[in-house]
Amino acid sequence: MNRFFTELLRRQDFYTGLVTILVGLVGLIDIAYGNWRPGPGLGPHAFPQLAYIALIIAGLAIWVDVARGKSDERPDYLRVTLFTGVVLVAAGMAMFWLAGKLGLGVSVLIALIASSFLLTREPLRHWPSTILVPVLATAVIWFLFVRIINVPLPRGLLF
Amino acid sequence: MFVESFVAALYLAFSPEVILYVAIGVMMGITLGAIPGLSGDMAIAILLPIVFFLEPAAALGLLTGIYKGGMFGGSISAISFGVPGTPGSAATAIDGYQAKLKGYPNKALNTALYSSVIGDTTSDFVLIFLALPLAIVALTFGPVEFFALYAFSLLLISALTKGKVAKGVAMAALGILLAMIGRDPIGGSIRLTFGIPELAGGLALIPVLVGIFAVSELIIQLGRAWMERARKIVDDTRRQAESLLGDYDSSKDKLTFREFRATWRATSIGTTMGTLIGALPGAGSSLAAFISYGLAQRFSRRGDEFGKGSLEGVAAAEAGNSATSGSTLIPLFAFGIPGSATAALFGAAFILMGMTPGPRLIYDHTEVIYALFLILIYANLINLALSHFLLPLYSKIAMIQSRILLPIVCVLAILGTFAAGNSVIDVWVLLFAGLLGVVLRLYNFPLAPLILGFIVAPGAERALRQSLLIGRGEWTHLLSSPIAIGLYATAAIMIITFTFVLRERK
Amino acid sequence: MFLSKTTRKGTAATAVAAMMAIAPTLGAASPLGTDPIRLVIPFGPGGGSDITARVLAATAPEFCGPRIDVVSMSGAAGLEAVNFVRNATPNGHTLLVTDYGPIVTSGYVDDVDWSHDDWQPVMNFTEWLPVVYTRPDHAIQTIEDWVAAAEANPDTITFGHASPLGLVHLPLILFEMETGLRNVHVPTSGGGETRSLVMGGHIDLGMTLPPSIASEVASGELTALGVFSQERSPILPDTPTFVESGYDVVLPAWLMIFATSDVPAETVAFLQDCFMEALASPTAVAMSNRVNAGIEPLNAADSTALYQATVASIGGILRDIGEID
Repeated sequence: MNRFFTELLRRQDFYTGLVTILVGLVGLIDIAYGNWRPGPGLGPHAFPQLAYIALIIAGLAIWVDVARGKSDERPDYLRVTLFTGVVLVAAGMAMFWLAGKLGLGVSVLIALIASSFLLTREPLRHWPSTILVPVLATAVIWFLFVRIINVPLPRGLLF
Repeated sequence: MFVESFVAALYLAFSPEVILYVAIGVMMGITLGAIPGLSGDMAIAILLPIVFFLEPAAALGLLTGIYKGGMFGGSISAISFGVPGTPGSAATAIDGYQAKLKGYPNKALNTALYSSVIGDTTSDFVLIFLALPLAIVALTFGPVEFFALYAFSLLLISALTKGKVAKGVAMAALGILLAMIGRDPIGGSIRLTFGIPELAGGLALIPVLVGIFAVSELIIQLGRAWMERARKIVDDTRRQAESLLGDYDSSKDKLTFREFRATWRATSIGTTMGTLIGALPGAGSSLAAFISYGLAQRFSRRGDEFGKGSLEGVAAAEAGNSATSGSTLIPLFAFGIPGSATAALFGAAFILMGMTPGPRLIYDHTEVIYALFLILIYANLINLALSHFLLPLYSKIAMIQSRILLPIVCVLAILGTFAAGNSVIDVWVLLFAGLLGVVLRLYNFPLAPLILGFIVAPGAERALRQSLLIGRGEWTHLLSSPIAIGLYATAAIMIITFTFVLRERK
Repeated sequence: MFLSKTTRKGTAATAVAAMMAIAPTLGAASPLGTDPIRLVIPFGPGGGSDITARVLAATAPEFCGPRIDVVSMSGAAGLEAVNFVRNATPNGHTLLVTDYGPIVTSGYVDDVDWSHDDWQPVMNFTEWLPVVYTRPDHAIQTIEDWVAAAEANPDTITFGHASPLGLVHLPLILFEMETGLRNVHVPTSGGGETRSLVMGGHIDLGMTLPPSIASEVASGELTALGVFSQERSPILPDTPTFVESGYDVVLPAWLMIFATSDVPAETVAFLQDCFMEALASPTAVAMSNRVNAGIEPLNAADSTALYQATVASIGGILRDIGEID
């Protein structure tokens, strides 16, 4: 029996189930004690409440699956992928912020060249794909978004 | 009278100028639709002022072309990069991208094109010949009936999860929760915004959808590209230096007639569901695509191939998505009610041309409307012809090495999402939805139910609470309509049938 | 022919006079330069505000100089548009085109970092008069029928309206406060949904703005009960006002162009002049008639008075129903 539980604790989906249940519980506690205004026809909390209950049930069902020996493996490349994600989100925000300072064209060009350099080995030797393509792509993007659509981004100093 | 108008409409619709505008529109639509975030709707919105200056037939031709091109264009990026270009093509991405990974993007793209054109054309004929009867059916859909429809569509979660029902339900619940963020549509109070005032308007569909499906996919691919670079695999260097396209062999990637014929069942399910759902005000093309996909999987002989690059999956989703395009105009023509964002834009175009949408439209402006009907039909042929020439090019683009393509697609996704709503918040939502999508993918949660929950929840909540308000709080009111009872009964029968069928197969 | 010639000459003369009047205060250059002007609307594209703003965008460049773009920003329930204009450089190139919802109502009920005094009206396009309507085979066909039915059976008549506290909901609240009647309020996702619920027989009454139902009322497919305004709507001349029936409930919805209050007064004056001129031009009048926009421009001073009156009256209603204190 004891081994059964230690075995469970080693399964990946034990934890995904746990997180699912916890999110549902926290949500239900928020609905019970949080600042929810009443509203006409069931009130604004009814659907979220239903979703939280569904989360808890789903979490328990994941546990049942785990107990029956059905669990997904620990993900490969977890750290690298998460790190890439955080970097991309930060880079996206930076590009957007830069677009307001330097202009859309310049920041897109910087973003494209920087990322091609990061992703290509010996970037200078492959200059057609790491410099020429980004320049062309930037020109097309600039023409589309600034000249034709005229996106309402704050104007930057350059292009 | 009819013959005269029809002949006049023929002259209008087939004047070289109008044909040219339709072709330009289709080109623009395909290109913009292929950019994640940008859609035909947005291009139509930008080009609305042009109807002040063009002849009505030319203006309608341009807008129609954009709309149809955009409908198909979304599936190009969905198949090529796993990045749905428009909300309607999210379901196409599920199997289309798997097909591309297996090395046959061209087959998937061609399947998408043909099923899209079949769905679209059928739907246009329905608009032309069956607008009034279908519109009357659509009007009988009130809150009670809509709630039944939404409840029915949530059932399809099980079809979208491939044996991971528990995780699928969790994802649908998460999608519902994401849709609840912002102002309560019935009471007006603000909920689940975590004190961020910018979230008061809720999360928009495009950033959530593109983020969850597309940005997460991009992040995973970028991570892989980064590792490929860092690990210095020898043969990889050779491949990288060799050519832009890697080892893609386009001669093995041709769709045969036999292969396409095998998808007819999926295509017809998609066409039927898309046409019906498109005619309902407010239901939308992405819902039509998911429902068609789910049903096609249920009724397919090779349902277990869905999600692994099945051409049937592509056909069902794309036919369902495109078949909304004609029928979404039905409520507009029959009653002047815009049933979708696109229909609202077409309505605005009519108003700008001095034509009031509604039942009088066809009597007051017979020639222009007949011309529009003709354009609706032949724009499909132009779409087919243009895309047919362009597809080999697109499938080559799809196979360009990821280290070159990924950054460009990322930038386009960010800018496209911004331009779709002119909203900075949408960009933040896009990026964080991408991060959420990555985490969920890593832990093997299926993403389609999340999107389904997100699409269905606002309508389901509104319909349920409206029903209870109208029924003075009596839950029995939900069973007061034969259509609703019919939908619940169908759902029950489907559950029972498929549980038995599945058991037997095992 | 003669008439149209003089009109054109007259417009030209006014234009020249206006230019000369402004020229000394600003020197040789127009205050606007060549950068495009953005008319930001806090709603999605395709609606009435969008269409009206586009009439101006199509005609004003000739009079104002730069090109004019209509930008639709519906994010954060319209507050994103308001903030975008608020944070733009105050040079008159970024203007807000809105009804009172996102600016007056939001200024009261939402957590915003501006007050109603931070905005100055440039001009007003039009006043939309909220109208109550139903299908022709419904038992209620007049305001009196409605009052009688609601008195006989309170809380039974279902009334569809767009988002809560919006411009087609507040008049209903005001009417109920005035009369003490009670109806079942059914919020919908907008005018289209309200109309399909009314026509499909799912609810009894609905409220909308006149242009969207004018042709159906004329052809007898919908009945308009009454308009919440002082005067009858020019688009629905046969529909009585609530005032005529003895209920003093008046809550028209305007569509106004706003600049932030730190835009220089002479820029605002220039914009007001060239916009008003543009809208008086024959092209603009023809367009306005074609799209049924009912544009009757008001200048900055009159618009400001209207704006301040609305701020006061909406504040009163919101206080009475306990939304704010």
